[in-house]
Amino acid sequence: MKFAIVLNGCSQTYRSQAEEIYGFLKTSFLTEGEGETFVVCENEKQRDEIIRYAPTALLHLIKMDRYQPEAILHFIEHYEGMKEFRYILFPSDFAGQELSVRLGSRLKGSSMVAVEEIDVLEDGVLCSKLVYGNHLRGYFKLDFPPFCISLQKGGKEPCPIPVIKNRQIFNYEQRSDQDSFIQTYLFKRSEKDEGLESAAFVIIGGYGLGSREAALNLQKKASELDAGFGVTRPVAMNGWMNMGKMVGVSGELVKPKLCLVLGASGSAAFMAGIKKSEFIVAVNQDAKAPIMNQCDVAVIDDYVPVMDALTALINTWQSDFETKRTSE
Amino acid sequence: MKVLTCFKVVPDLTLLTDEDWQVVNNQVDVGFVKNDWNPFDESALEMTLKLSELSESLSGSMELTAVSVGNKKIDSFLKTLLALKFQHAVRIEAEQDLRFNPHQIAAWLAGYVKKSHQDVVVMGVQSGVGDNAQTPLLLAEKLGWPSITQVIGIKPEKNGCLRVTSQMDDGVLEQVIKPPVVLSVGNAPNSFLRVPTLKDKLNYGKKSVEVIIPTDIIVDNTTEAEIHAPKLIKLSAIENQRDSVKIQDGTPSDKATILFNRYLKQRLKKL
Repeated sequence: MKFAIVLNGCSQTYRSQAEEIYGFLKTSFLTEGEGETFVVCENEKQRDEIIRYAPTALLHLIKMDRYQPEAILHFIEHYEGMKEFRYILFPSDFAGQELSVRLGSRLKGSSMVAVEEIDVLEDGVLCSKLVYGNHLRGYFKLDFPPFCISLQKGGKEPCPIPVIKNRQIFNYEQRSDQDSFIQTYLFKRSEKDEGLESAAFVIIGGYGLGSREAALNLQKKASELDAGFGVTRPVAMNGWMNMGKMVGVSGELVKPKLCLVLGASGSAAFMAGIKKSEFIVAVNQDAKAPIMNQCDVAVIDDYVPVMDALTALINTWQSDFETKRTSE
Repeated sequence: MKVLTCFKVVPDLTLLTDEDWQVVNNQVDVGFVKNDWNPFDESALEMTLKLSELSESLSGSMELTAVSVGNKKIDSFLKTLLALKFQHAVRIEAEQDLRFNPHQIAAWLAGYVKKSHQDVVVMGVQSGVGDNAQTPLLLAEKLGWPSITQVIGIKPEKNGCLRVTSQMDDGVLEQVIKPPVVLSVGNAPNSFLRVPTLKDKLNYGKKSVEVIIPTDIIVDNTTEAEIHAPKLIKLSAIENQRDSVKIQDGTPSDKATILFNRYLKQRLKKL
């Protein structure tokens, strides 16, 4: 069953997009040999990395001035072999979401965003995704191919892409004629906070922090304890901490060995961002907050005095631990 | 410049207890919880008001319209927007189940945009309970307009242009664009909707909500919208519960000590 993959090679996240798709392929009924990858790239510098990490042997490299959805859609829509693909897969990032829906509309197919799994049906495809603010899972039937599907963020474990021999590469250049509505274009790359995603110990503050000052204090404490620091959406939306620190379904997904959550009620969208944590501790005054039943240990109290006491205990223990190790 | 801001009123799902999540006939009863602005749409509405204020000194005033789809229960929200000086508040009358049918909503919105000759459409990237994240994108396609997603800022520019800031995965993009365009608003900090003053409520809130019947605006093929919508087969609960040992007795210091000694010390050692 032929399928296509569309990736944004203009982004620094290209490799993670590719590995996310590859992880999805490994658990689906689709087989790599029947897939073709379309990648948009800006310059020659990216070429080697794009080829190395493309999830299929057959690769279409589309050179453009920059990532521009109108131009990409125009190219893919008019690619002559497009009708042969029954499935077109996109990663979970913003580009994957926007391209999947718009391409589905243009090709008169069906589309769905944030899909967890797909299953083949006689006359369509069955997709599952989270609905009702991540409280429920919905199963949907899509009827019209091509099925343009973007993946759910964190839905499947990414899978490293092996070295693929005998690659077939087709090169194209696409001029951005569809960009005429854009008068000026300025992209400022921002450094991603890799520490949060990979940290073994993460401290997260919720709306119960109450102020920007409290959020900054907690961030400082987290740094002293060598922990990654994140916040919930309400904290970021209030501007108490920058958006890069936001944990949840529309922010970072963390999977530390130890996750300490302070002053957060535990909305479903937030819990989706920490559910892969090995051990979750929640501190909250409200015993009925949803998080209190979705953690491993719940401390019912104001987070400030609990955190002060806990920090003192950890510091004392760490210094005793260091002294013991030095004397040995 | 005519700006149309689309919004949805959604149930506050955080108010539902675990026992409330009962699926009956592929539905969950959310009728008893209070409704609120969809957060992304709330940002879109506030950004539209800020845009209009900024444009007054630069390129003249804008004509603002707010639109939503639903029954008369959402009129109080539309009245609030009239009090916030949206010139028009429009409700597209609908009673049917549209939870998972962004195609139908996009078709109606496209009909209204064409009928009322809008230049810019602003709306949230996603809304509950369907979490479809498709409506602005389908709308752009039905209109044949370009679209910018994950918008976090909109400012007026000269010559009828807009300066649009959007959040990409690895940075921030700032573009000056010439409408028409569909702007889909993402996580925009400090964009909570302002509250109207009592004076403005009295002066503007009494204006009527314009109610439109879909058949008056539809320009797209409704059957096509119905056909292409995904079909809900079933809804199922998600199991998120953990053991959840409660520490609730003693002083905060006592609780921290129990937490540290019983649950954290060994784990911290292994980090």
